[in-house]
Amino acid sequence: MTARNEYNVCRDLHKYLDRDLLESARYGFEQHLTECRTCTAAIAQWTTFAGAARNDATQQAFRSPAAEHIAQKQLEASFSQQQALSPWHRRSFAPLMATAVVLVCLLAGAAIFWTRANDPSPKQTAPVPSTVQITRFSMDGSIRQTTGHQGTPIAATPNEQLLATVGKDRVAVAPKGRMVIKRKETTSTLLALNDGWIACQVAKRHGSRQFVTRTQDKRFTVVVKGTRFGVQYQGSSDTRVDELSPLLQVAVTEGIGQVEETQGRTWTVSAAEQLVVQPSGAAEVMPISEQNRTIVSSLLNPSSAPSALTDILAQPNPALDSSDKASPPPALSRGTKTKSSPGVSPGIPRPDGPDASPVSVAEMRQWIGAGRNADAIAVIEARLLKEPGNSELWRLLAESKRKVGDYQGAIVAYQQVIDSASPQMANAARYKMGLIYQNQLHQPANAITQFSRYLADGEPQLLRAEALYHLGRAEYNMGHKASARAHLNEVTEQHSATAAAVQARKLLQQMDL
Amino acid sequence: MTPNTVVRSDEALMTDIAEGDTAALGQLYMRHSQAVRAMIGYVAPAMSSHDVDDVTQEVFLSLGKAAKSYRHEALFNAFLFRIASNRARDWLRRSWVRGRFTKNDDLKIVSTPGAGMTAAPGQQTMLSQTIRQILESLTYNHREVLVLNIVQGLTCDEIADVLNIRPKTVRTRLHRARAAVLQHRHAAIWKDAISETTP
Repeated sequence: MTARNEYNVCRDLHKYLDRDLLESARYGFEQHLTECRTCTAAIAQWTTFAGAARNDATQQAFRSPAAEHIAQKQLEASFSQQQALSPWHRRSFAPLMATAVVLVCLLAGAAIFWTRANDPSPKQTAPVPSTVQITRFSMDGSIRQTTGHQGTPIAATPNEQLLATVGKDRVAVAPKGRMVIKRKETTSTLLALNDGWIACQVAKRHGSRQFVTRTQDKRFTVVVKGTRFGVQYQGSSDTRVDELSPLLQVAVTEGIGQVEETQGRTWTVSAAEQLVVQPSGAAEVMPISEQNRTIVSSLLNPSSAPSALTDILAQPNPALDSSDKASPPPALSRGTKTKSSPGVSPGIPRPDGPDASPVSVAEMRQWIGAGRNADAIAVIEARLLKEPGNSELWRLLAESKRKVGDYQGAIVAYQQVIDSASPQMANAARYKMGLIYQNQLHQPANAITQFSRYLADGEPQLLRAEALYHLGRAEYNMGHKASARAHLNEVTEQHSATAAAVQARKLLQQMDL
Repeated sequence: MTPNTVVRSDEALMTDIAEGDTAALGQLYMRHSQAVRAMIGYVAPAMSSHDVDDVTQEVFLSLGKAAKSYRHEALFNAFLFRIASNRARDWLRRSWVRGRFTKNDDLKIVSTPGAGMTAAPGQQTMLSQTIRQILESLTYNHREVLVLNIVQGLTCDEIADVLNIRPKTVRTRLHRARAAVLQHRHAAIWKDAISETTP
């Protein structure tokens, strides 16, 4: 046998001990054992060890028969006792029960989660109409029905105006106007105004649901409840913003609206008021112009000829009075550019001072809106020397003086308005005077006088609810709690949907405390 | 045992145990307690004789509880030694945990290896201690395979069935354990014994 073969045979030592060798291999290995002393010694050594270990284990494990018998009886007794135990007394019962309880809880939780995830609850499956019925009124007098979709733009051509019905609300789009209806049935109705005029007639809402109109750039948001109003916005249809026209107009004919700007400013626009925001950022809440009132009315009642509406919209600035439309356009401010369109109204302050050329009333109004109250006061006072009976000039003077903080001067100017203007304008001046007496001059007695006269006017007051609230507040400040409570109750009962009613309720609660 | 006494097989006794016969469990104990005790005492050399007896009792109690799940096609010895192996592992685990948290020296004295084992006279005691030292030098896995092989006389396939591992794994462990024993420093005692017996 060669050395290599001998080595291979030695490797079979363990197989030989494990009795894993085949008969022929086993025979060969036993032949090898006669020659290999190493393997023989290893096998002998292992056999000796195994035998000694086996004997030792047997001896160590040996117990006397008596001891074994006792151990047997103990085992049988223990086993019998274990068998007799009820399941919940066994040691393994508690962990098993705990595991079972945890599993049941997990399964129950999973089942509840699955049920809620797949439960078609009424709120989630409320049918949200994805289509909007649109009536298109063309200039040629034809009327046709179309269907729009939520989330897609609804645009009016220059020769038509649209009227869309969204639930109980009506939304009208003026010629060239464009908007998107994004309605969420469970929360609020959201209109995205891209460009132009829209007018909305909003039904009363319950809970936290709101009717929200947001401009395309999300800068302005108009939130209303139960209101009739119109919004005009210069959107992206123009290549750039027309610096002579207002950036945003919110004209409210009924109810009250809240206008919010992303920069933090907030305005409350009551009925018969309008908010005008200039491109420069200047903003003012003023009485609604007749033009804007007509626009809102015409949009929501399209029975009137659309061509008339087009004519009104073609006028450059809805805030202008008819008497001022013929006034020549003023010079532009330095560095400003605007697109050239016929009939562009003035609005930008002159660089060469108020005495350089005659200034129109509209231009004065623009100055006040732009914050140039001092210039406006100088021009108006100079002009009042020539026209002391012009009530509109007195009204503008009062507004500008009020804005610069000259409240006594504003009171004097309003008094001139009362003395010289029409009854309607005079009554509005009384309301403004009352506000100044109450909020700025802290003279509740005078405020009571003005608000009382305002309310005593035979004409229907647009701000009756607000006036009643302010009257009640002034009376409360004077200590006339009974009359104050009566007026506040009148607000809450007869004008419950107004913002004044909300404030009146708060004041009543304060009085009760 | 009288000639008329019928010797029931282990499988038949397991059936009786499953039906609630406690005496059958006693019979199984009398048959196999010594083998179980020998195995446990060698697999866990650190165990005292009292511990060996306790673990043996636990093994047979577990056997009684597991009688209902016993499959009759399985080898009874494999079933029994698997339980014994698991109980020995449990004891070692508990012992390790106790050792981590107990600093009482009295307990250590009580659990001194072989403290309560039956003493053998003279040479046998020294031989026993040498065997234990050699076994303690092995890992548990190697020791377990070795004990099942040389003490219980099981083949590699049977050991694989007991330990629920592959036969090849058993062979590997057994070879390594055997090599470790033959190369152990105390193996000289066997060499001397062999040199005296071989021509």
